[in-house]
Amino acid sequence: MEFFYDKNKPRIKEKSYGRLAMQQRMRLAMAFLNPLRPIINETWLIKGEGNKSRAFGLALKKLIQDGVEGQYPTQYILPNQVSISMGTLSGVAIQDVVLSNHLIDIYFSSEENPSSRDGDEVILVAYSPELGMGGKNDVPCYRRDGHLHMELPIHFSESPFHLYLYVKAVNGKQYSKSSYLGYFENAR
Amino acid sequence: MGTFKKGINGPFSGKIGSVIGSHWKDVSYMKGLYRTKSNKKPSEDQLRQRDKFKLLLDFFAPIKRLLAIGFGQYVKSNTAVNAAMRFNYDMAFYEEEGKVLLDYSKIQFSRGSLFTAGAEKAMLTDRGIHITWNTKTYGISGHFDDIVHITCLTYIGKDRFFDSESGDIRRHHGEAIIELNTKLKPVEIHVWLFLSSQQGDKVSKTVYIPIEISDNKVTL
Repeated sequence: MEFFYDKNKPRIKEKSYGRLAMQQRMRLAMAFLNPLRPIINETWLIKGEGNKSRAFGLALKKLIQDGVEGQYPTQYILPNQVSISMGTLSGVAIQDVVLSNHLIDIYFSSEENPSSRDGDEVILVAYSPELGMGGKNDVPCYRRDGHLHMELPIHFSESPFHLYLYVKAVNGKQYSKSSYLGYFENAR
Repeated sequence: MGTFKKGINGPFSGKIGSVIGSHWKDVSYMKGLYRTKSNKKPSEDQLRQRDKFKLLLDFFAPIKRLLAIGFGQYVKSNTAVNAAMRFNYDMAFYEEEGKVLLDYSKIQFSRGSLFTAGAEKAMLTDRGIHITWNTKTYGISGHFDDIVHITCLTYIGKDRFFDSESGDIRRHHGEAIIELNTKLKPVEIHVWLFLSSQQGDKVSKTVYIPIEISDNKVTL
């Protein structure tokens, strides 16, 4: 028993290193994924067994486990480890990425596969976590096309951005695991 | 007289002996009776904090309705002004010659994950302040029918006027004109813009649009 206990003196309990590190990982992962929530809610839905909150929670868990590097307090996100979509659908092989004057062109190929269809939709996402902004290709592109063209969001004229690509099945339910294409800067 | 609620350990309201019980926004409070005010003079730091608090609170007072939209999702056991104060307090000030001033470019009327419009511009015309923005939505977070909330602060001499517009302006309109309440030429104008979804469940962060006024022309 503490004889000199003073109830007016606030009890300051220092947080452990592990707790602080985990809280920072959570914050970093949440800040990175939250603007992409509308996409993740769809693309992780099968993993989340039809529940959007669970789907986002699983994406968050994966990012915390695989995509955060460094030691507290200098932890950081590895964008190439971020999976903005998840699934068993086969993806496409990227041949070339051409960025010119606010426009982006992706050239890709896809092998014949029993689980893939020519009509599967290929979706490109440009995302800047610093701005909390992102954009998808507004003109639909399909696996058979081999080429995707996208006008970049106006916000990215002066800010670098990450590119992710994934495939959505014709039935609209299945998705491929997303591919990370790199970190780009729009040089006008 | 105090009245017990929910049994002997429950919250109460009113005065019991030397304590007062009260209830506000689902939170029960118990406070001591008012004592005579301390005659101790506040320190410089205390005075500075009081100045900052008053400055920001006075600034937010005329735009409570706007803050209720912008910070609505953070309101539970507080008010939208409370939430706005808490969010802005650490970044909304700068000091010049020992005087605390508001940094208008840092003030936020909203906080959320809805995407901003981009390419926001404003200019002063004969009809008022003409504001334009990008109308594209880019398919992730944002719809063409998102509501655009615009707030203009004009200084004419030392008088300050707020003009705001929200409700009828949508993202797809791409432009709006805010008519000023006065015919006099303002000496200083500040414009802020944010968006909210039609359901009101999502808001964007606030974008500050600066306008510089010189004697003969208005520049962005």
